[in-house]
Amino acid sequence: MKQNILVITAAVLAAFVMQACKKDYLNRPPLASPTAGTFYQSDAEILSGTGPLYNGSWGGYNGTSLQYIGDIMGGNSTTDNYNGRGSYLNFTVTATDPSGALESAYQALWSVVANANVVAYNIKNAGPGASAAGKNSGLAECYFMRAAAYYYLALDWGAVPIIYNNSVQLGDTTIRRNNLTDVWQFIINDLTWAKNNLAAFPLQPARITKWSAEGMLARAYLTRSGLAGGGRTQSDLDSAKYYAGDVCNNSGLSLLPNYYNLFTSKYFSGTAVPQESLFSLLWVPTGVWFVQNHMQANLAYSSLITQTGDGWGAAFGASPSLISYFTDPANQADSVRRKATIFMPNDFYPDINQAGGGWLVDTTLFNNAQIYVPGQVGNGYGNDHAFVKKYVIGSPADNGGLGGQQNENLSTYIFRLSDVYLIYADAILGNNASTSDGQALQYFNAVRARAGVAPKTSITYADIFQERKIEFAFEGHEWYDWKTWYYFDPTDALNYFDTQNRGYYNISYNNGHPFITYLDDATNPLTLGPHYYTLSPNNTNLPYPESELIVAPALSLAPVAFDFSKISY
Amino acid sequence: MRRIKIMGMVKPFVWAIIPAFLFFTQLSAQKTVARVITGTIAAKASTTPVVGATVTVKGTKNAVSAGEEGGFSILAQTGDVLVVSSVGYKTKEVKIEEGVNSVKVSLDEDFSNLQDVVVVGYGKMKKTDLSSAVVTISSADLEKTVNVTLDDALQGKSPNVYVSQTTGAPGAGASVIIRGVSTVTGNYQPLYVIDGVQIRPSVPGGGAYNAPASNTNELAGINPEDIENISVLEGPAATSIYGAAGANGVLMITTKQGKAGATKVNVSESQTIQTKPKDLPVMDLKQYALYIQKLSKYGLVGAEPQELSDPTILGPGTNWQDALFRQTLLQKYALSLSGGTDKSTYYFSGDYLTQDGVALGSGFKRGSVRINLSNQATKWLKFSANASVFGTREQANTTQGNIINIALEQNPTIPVKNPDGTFGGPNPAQAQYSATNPIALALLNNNYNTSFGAIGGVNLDITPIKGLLWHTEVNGNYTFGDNFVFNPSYTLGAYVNPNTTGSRGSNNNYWYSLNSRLQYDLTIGKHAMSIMAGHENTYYAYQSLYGAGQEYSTNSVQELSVAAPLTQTTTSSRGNGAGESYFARANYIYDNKYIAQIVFRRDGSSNFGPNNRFGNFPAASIAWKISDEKFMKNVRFINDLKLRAEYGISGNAGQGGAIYSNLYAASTVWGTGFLPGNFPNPNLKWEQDQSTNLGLDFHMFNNRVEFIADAYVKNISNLILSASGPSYLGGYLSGGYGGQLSWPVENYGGMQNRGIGFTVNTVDVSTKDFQWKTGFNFSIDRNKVTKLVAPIVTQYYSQINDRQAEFLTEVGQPLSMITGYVAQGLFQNYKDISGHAIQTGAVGTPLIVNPTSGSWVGDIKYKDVNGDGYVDQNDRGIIGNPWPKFTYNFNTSFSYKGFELNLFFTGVYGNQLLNLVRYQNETLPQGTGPYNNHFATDINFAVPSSVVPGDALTATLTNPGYNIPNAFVDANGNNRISQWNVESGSYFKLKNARLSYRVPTKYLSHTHVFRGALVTVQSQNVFTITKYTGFDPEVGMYNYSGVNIVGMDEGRYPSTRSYTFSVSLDF
Repeated sequence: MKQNILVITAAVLAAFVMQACKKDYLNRPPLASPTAGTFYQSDAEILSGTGPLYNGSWGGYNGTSLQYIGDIMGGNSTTDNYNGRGSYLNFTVTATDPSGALESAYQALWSVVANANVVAYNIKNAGPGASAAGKNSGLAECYFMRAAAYYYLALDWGAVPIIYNNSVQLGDTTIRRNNLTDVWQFIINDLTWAKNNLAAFPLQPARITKWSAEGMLARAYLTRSGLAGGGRTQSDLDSAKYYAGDVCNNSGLSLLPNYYNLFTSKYFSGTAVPQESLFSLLWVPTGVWFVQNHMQANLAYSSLITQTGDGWGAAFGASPSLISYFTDPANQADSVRRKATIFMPNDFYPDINQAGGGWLVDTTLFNNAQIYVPGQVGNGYGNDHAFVKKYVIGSPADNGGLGGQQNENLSTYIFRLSDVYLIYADAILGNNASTSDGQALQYFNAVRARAGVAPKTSITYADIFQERKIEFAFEGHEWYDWKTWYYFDPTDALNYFDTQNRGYYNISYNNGHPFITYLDDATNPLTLGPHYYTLSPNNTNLPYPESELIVAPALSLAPVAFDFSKISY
Repeated sequence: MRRIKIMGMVKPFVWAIIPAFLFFTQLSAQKTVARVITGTIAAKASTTPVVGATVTVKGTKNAVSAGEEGGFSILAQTGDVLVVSSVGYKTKEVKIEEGVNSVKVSLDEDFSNLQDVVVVGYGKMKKTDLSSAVVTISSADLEKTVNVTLDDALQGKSPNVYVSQTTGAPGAGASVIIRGVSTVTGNYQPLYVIDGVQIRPSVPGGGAYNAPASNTNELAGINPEDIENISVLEGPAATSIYGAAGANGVLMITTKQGKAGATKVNVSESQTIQTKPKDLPVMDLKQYALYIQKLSKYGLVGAEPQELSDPTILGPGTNWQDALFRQTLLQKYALSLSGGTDKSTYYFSGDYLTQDGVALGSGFKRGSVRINLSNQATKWLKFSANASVFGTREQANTTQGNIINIALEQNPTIPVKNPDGTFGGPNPAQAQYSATNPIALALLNNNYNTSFGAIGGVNLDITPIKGLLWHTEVNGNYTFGDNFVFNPSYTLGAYVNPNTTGSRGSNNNYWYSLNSRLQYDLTIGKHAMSIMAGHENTYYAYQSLYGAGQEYSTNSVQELSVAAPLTQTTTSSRGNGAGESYFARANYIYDNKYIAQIVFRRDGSSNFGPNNRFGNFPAASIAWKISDEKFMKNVRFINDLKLRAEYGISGNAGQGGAIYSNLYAASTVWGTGFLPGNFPNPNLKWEQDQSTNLGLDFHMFNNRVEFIADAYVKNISNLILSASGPSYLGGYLSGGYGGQLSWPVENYGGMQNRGIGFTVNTVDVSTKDFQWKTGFNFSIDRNKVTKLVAPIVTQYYSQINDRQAEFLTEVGQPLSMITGYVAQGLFQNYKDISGHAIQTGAVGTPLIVNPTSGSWVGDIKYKDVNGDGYVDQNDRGIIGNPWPKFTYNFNTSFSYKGFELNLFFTGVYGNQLLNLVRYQNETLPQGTGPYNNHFATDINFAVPSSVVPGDALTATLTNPGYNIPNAFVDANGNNRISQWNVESGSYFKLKNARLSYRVPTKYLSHTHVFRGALVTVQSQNVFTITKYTGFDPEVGMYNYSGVNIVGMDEGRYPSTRSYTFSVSLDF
């Protein structure tokens, strides 16, 4: 009997052993996706690895956040208070911003940083099939992206933590904000490394080049030059001048002759980008949310323009300061940029609604032959303003059949050559009240010339600032340009906003002539006249989102110096 | 027909001898040899025959079972003792006296279930031998409620099992939490083991703007009527045999098997009328006109429409809730056949269920077939197999399309249909901010989930020698799912949706396991031992294919074939995973008094890297049956008293893939690129759930009172969670695509769950005709987070694009607490504003008293909790605990002759709910847009005497006494969630009332067709006592954006009252 038990037990145990699994039974790597360990085996795969850095995580910044911060807060766009977005107009953005733009921008920019860091880490560990040059070029793209995101982070929130390696820093609970000067040094270091490792020609059409990095480097130096306060630091101005000048004079790049064409799908979609584009977000109109451009949906004032059911932008339009520039008889010549920037009554756009013979800005939208009187019945104050044109391109049918709802066939400029031209002029101007330097005038006037505006013979900082406001209106630049000014001349910069009419206006269209009435407040237009909002020095940085402060209370502590030895390129 | 059942292992010669004896004894009845004894067996109380009772000649293997009238016939001789036993009755012994050839046996009813056999992990045990906390639920318990799906059936049946419906949508899954939630970001659902097939249902997912999306209820294909019983494994010694899968508790589900005897046929039909929910108090047309008039008066909307100018002549307008909800039917038809011989048994069943949802555009259908077979091929070989094939179809337009919220928000001026028969819609002035037509959307859109699946297994039992069992089983589960979505283009009034969108997704999932185990049972004197050891492989894999498109050329063809080619996208995926385990259990019982058990499992999982692939999960338990001690023998009223103690470690393997840095394909202008989807963690390891449990089983007064109590502490360490940190580290809780990186999955964090639960079952009255039984259970479960990387803040994007709903998980608190501000009323005047903390900016900003850019009269005054003079995020705190203080269930049944009345009550006490529907429709007078409907109370929005900034010093509130803020531009932050939006979630429900009548067999027997008939009327959700103002306080826990959110109601699909009539016939 006992023997029986032994025999049977042995047999059964043998059966068990046969059931036992092979060694790699429990080794189950993902089947549907490559992993960092299996990818990045060649230069081509490194390019595939950096390609998505041009859209994806920027998606949360593109569109609403870019517009609210850059243009509404910057003073170029008017808005209503739907979902509390009026706070960007009157400088009362709170940590609980109900519009969501604050948090969306915050998360997206940090996400850009994280992606750049993780991809860089992966490229550093790329397989032996990848060349050193290929790896360095890929790393340069990562560091460029990181610097581009930090540019916005620094100007929006001031001192922020320097995140140079997410994998290492994930477990670090002691992270503090770093001094703003260190943040700018970090940006400059990244861009310097990038310019040294990027080719002069794009590896694929529309990719960034050495010139992109140099232009951005010039901008970083120029911005940082004001950081010390009391004028701008000459050495930074010199660096800005050097790199901007290199791009202006040696890149061989030139402005697209026609300003309007910059914002058309024919010239600016897919891999077709003008050489003026130094860095653009490159969207793919396939209908996948994070890689498509949804700007037009929120900007177009009518769904008849988009033909895709969106077009929710009737609340936005040129701000009083922008409309007063364009309607000033002295600026009548600046009609190219006006038409490319805003819709004015009776303007005609043949490229929109091509099937219907073009788009005429219908004057019946406006109060015909009536001047707005507050409180008068039947004379609403609703949507009688100059709507946004830039980034509004019409229906998919108008744009090669590509696009759809919240999905326009157009890329987004982050950095254009004309920006470098104006940076160059600004760097040459430096701390002088005005300049007539030949190079400064040459490039400054090149921007104006393209717009069909008369050249200037002498330029001041105010000229440059105003030129930037018009050239880049609705491209999300204005707030950052102002902040750059605020760095080195806070008094004048604050005064600029204190005296900037940020109220409302009403366009009455009367026998071919728009007539503009300025009103006190977009949201509550009870009285005539301008409306000013004071920007307190305490509010020149955006607040951290409430949810972030709960998770990371250390952000309220004073910033600390950064130990640059932690970073290796 | 009489059958002889041979009990236990019988030597072959017995087979030959019995017929010979039968033959012999019929010739002459000799005194000294065995003779045929005939008899009848009846219940003492009711004199009804006890069919199937077992009669054994004591000390032999000679046994028969009683036939239909309780009759039996057995060979025995004078002096033999017949042992008569049957489940539910006390065993009785009858001595065969000289000359007696027939006996009448009457059995006493036994209220104890101690002899029941309980299914535990990889085996069975007598209930009396258990040393771990295991609760059993019988099919009789399940039948007491109307159950569409298996998880519905669990509610209230067992202590410390918190079941709540996340949505009332037909076919949707429930959230089932055993002994407190054990995970922060992972799957909290228990493991279901259905005849050996392991299924862990996914957590109901939260839709972006809606109550939980209802698809993928993995249990929807199981017909609850096929279930014989459910063992709820709660104690650590019981769950740790499932090692890594056992941490959330295990539900062992056994389906019905055939029994030897004539074929039994059952046919049943039930018809359920489901009623409409109560209406939430939105404005009717008259109230809406007054409201618009008031808004217009203060310039808050454009000029008041002419047709609303005289509210007195208006009718009620469109009641959208009335239009959306309907009274509907749930029908179920079922058939079962079972029977067999002493060697082979079979059970065959089929059901068809069709349920129209009470909201338009929702419904559920199921058809299933099951076959369970068992065959004792030879005396040492038993083979059994079970399989079920099912198909389900769920229509999910309502839950997927946010239809319920739209119905609450659409204003009553818009008709459901225009006079010309087309659907109504908003006018041009309203179109941009207004909702569409919910009825049209519910009917025009299509969203179907269909699935087809099979579940089953094959078992082989080999008994090479007495006491040794070699059991091998192969189990599998396969489902094929298909999701079809089509949203046509439409024009509803001025609301134009020019674009059609659609998609079709298919997926198939399969899982199988092979396990083999040896069990050896041995009894030597007072020592009883049972040793089991086994090995198991599991493997799962999935594949999916998804295609989507837009701009369909027609609405009549709803397939991608007509979508614009450039809009079409396709994607596919596949993956797999595996586990390998070794497990063992030793059970030792001394003298039927002292019980000890040791369990060990070693689990390997493909979720972990090579260094941490295996985890060990030991457990031990002891029990002491005090009632069997000599000193207790005189305590007559105690039938059974057992103390239990156990300790063990279960685990959690999380989800696969976290050890790799997965890249996903991302579109670029240069073609497909790849981005990392997550921060990898190659060092991920097993989560450990250490539990201690103390229990007490008490049976008294002739087993008429049963009391079971358990107390537990569960410490969870190495908690596997998405280690979310500050945004500056760049992760997202639900990342992994679109440039958003998922946080790494880490072993950081801990939780502690503590609780007690008890059950009291009593037989209050038991006479010949009348019986009254009651059952009560009570549970307390407490959860506390003990360690985290950083607090986890979950923001809920509500429909109005506002993120004010936030849930906080932090150390020292239960999971997912509701946070918000403390509202202190409305500002009455300038003094009130200037004397209060500044609410409109960060620290350092000045006080602004302005109707559109600061605080103003009629704005909400929030408490400056930290007293720094500013109301900001630092003043946000916990304002609600979504976890109940305790839950309780009570059921009682009365039976009189064939009648039986069951009442089942369930209650939850002490939890709070965030009523987001009320927040959107009441607290924010214009929260959902200027032309939307609101709760009728919104007419009382605050009206300041002036809204001119210059009047700041003199403005006062003209209508004090309400808590609705002014309807002007909200510069003050009136959108902050406050305790005003938090309500008590306590409720007490009569979940089910059921009256049944079993037609006596005497009325049926003459037909020769029917063996039995049961007629039932019942009502589900009869009444609910609650202070909660939403549709239903039963709001489950679901996963939103990677975190489990509990206690939030954002337009949940309501569960409503229903009335059921059913007939069940036995043939």
